[in-house]
Order: sequence, then structure tokens, then C-alpha cells
Amino acid sequence: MTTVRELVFGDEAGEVRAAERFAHDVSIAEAAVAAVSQALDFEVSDVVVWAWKTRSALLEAAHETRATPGLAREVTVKTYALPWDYEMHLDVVINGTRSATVKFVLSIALEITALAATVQDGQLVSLKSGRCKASASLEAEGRMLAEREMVLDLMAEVKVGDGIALIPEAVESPDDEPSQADRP
Amino acid sequence: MNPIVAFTLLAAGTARLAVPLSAPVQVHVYTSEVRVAPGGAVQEFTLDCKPGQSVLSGGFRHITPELRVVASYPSPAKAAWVVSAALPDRTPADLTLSVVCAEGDIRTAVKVATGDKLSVSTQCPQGTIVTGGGYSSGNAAFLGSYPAVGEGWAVTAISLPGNEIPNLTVYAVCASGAVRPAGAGMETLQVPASVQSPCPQTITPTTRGAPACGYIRSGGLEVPCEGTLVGGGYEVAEGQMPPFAIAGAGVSREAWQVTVNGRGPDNGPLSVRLIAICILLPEPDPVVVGPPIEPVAERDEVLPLIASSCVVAALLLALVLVMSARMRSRTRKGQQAQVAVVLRSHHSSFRLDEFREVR
Repeated sequence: MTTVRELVFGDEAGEVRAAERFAHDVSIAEAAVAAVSQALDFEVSDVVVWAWKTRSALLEAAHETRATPGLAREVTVKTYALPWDYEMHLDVVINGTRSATVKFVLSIALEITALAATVQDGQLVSLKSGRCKASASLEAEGRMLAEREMVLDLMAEVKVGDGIALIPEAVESPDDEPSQADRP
Repeated sequence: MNPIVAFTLLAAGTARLAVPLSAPVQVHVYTSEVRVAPGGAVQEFTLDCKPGQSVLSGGFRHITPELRVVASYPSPAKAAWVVSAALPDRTPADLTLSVVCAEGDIRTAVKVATGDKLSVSTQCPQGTIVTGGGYSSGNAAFLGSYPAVGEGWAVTAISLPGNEIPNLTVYAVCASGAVRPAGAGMETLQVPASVQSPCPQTITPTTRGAPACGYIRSGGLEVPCEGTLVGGGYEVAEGQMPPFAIAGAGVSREAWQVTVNGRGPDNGPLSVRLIAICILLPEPDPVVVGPPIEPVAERDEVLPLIASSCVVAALLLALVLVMSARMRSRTRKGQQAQVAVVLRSHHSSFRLDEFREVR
């Protein structure tokens, strides 16, 4: 499954390029990009699910099916787009003293096409098709560090398992471990 | 016909290897210009790969709006790309064919599927990757030909007047061997609106589907990719694509290029998504055999003692210098500033004002 780190940087060479664009001081640049890279170590599919939980036909179907037990809704969406911004503030500490705070902004544009899914009891229970073009750009203080895009097969990326709760009421049990997709 | 022009995208492994483990993969693009005769008859042109090569993808390009490319696909029978076109005009037109071929540790097979719907797709067998694909039909105009979800190929078309049940064939080139996917490069071509229409009051479709006149829609875009470009596709992202308006879809220089040139019934927004297919080839084996080392002739004479002593002294001096340099380096490192970067805060938000959903 594809992580946001892979989407943004591609590989280690991508991180090196981003560091070179960020600062001339190699040690600071590498440390900063490494910290950002670590912060982006979550899956792109998590962002997709957060988007669906925020606004989508799937969310509407989740409310509808939760209100009518046993009802299953087949949801088809031709195109879906919801951009996401992730702002990170990193402190640069030199010899134990904070010398600067740098703002990094990650923007991810999700363009999902040909989505077909089933929602039941407020949960996404199956995904039959769907393709996601994810475009990411990473800026630091207005300077573009990395820009990439990928096409992802949602059926391979989104692990539906026993179902993904799209609304809080649909979470099976409060004792259940929160999934990656439940992160804010 | 002009002579075939060939250029190499990647030439790996030109060095001599001590023990060749596997033949490095090389990708070549060949192009050939042909002339389409007027009169409306469908003519088929084929561009072959060289012996021992496998076909990865192919395409075509032209600059004649009246030219109708009705098929562009990998030959299932041999390593070649086939393009069929018709020209219902009175003067001949030039058409450039292209084929992307590979040699080395790579094998390809063409998967074919047919259907009577306006979109048909096929999937490559497990363990293979799609490097290209194409289409053919006798009674439809193709609007899209692109990599499908997973490792496959999909085509979309519109019916032509009098042919309500389309008969589409989709082809996928499935590759295995020392290659793996490197993702897809994507760009969207916004086809500009035409500034004027040659006959805006009425638009009469001909029996062959394309309007006799209408709004001229033309534009083009190139998509590079990270890795080795082997092919690509396109699909309409928004708007109404005029029939037979794809005037080019193929590998050009080191980018996937698609051009639109046709007459359409409206002047509304029209955008075409371009998808470049990129693969990763294995790095050439770093073990390279240089020029053969001349055997050192055996010498009977013994070096004079004084010369040996000089050599030993020189070696000792070099050792002392190296140790001294390393000590200095360690000292400098110890004086370097300790740098740490820590995440202090973060927050995220969706841009709800840019939310779009079409059901």
C-alpha cells in the first residue's frame, strides 16, 4: 500500500532532491526532510477515507443505512475530488537551542473516478472499483520541495476488511483499536 | 515511404560483462511515415520491431483533420504495431506510425478482448505488467484508450450513425521479465475553445460520424515520466470529444504525446487526461571487465636493496599522512554543531470549497 511519503518523495533520491531544494546547509536540510518524511509515513488510503468521512455520497449512504438496519446501498460515483492540506511546524534546534521554526505545507489533491462501493450499517463494506489520481506537493516557506502524482487502484489500496466505519455511530465497539483511517 | 528512423531511449549494459547474468533490457522507438490514399477505404499499415525484439506499445500522429484512424493496436501475431486509417478526402495524407520495442530479458504477450458495449477492457495475467494497449473497430469512433485499473487496458468509444451496436476490440501488451512498473505520469490537456466556427448555424453529421463542419478543436500535450517511458494512453476527462479527433497518440522523443485535431459540435470545455506508462529496468551489472590486464613478465633479477628500502619508507610516510588527516577530520567533526529538527505542531484540513462529486 502506498504511503504519503512515497507519494511525495518517490524514493530516497526524492528526499535528497527535496533536501537540496530546502537549504544549502546539508545537515539542517537532511534533518528537516527526514523529520517531514517521518511525519508523512501514513497511507494515502487513509486520506481517501478521511475525505469520504468528511463529505461524500458514501457518508450520506452511511447515515441512511445506519438509520435503517439491514439496508445496503450501492453507491456509484463518477468523479470525486476533495483537496487536503497538511501543515507542519518544525523546530530547528542547533546545539540544544531552537534557532528557527519552519512551516511545511503538504497539499494532496485526490481525484477519484469510477467509484463503486457498498455501504451498510454506516460502514463501507465493499469496494468494487475505483481509481484515484493523487497529486502531492510539498512546500517549505513558499519554496516547492517536491511535487509528484500517482494513480492508485483503490481496491488494492483501501483495505475494507470487516468494514470501515464512516460515521462514529457505526464503530462496532469502543474497545476496538482505532484504525489508521480513524486518525484526525 | 521514408526510411525507418530509430532512436534508443535507454542503452544499458554496453560494457562487457565477465559473466552475463541476463541480457539487459533495451527499449527502442521506431517511426515510419506512410501515405494514406484518398477515397474513404480503410487502409492498414504495420510497423515491425526488429527480429528478436518484443513490442511494448505504439501509436501514430498526423496533421490532417479529415483523416480517421479507426484502429491502433499491437499485432497479436508478431512484434509489430498496426494502424488502420481512412481518408474520405480527395488528396492523400501523411501518417506517422510509431512502435516501441524491447530486447533483452523481457517477454510480452498481447491480450485481446471484444465487446459490444461502448467501453471494453481486458486484464493482463497475474505477474505481468501492462506496457501499452490499443483498439480496433469497424463501426465506432474511439474516445479513450488507456491503462485500466490494475494491470490492464480499457477503451471507450462512441457509436457512429447507423451502427448502434458497436463492435470493439481492446488489446493489452502484457510484459514479464526484468521489468517492473514505475507508476504513471499524468497530465490533463485542456483543449482550447476555437475562436470561430466555420458554419455555426447548422452542423450536419456525415454518414461516417464526424461533423462536416463545426468548431475546430485542437491542442496537444506531452507527459514525461520517471523511469523508462514505454507507452501511454488517454481518456476524455471533461467535455465532448469530436469523433476521430485524436490526431496523435504515441511516444515522441522522451515523452508520451497526445494531440487533438478535429471538428466538434460544440465549443464547450474539453479536457483529455494523458497517462504515460513508465517502467523500471534493472540497473546494469556494475561488474565491468576492463581491458585485459597484461601479464607481468617474470623477472629473474632481484631489486636492489636500496630500492626496496625506498619503497618501504615511502609507504610508511603515506601511512603517517593518512593517519594524520583522519585525526584532523575527527577533530573537526567533534566541533560541528549538533542539529536536530523536531515536529512541534501539525494540523490538517480539507478544502471543502473545492469539493466536487458527480454521481
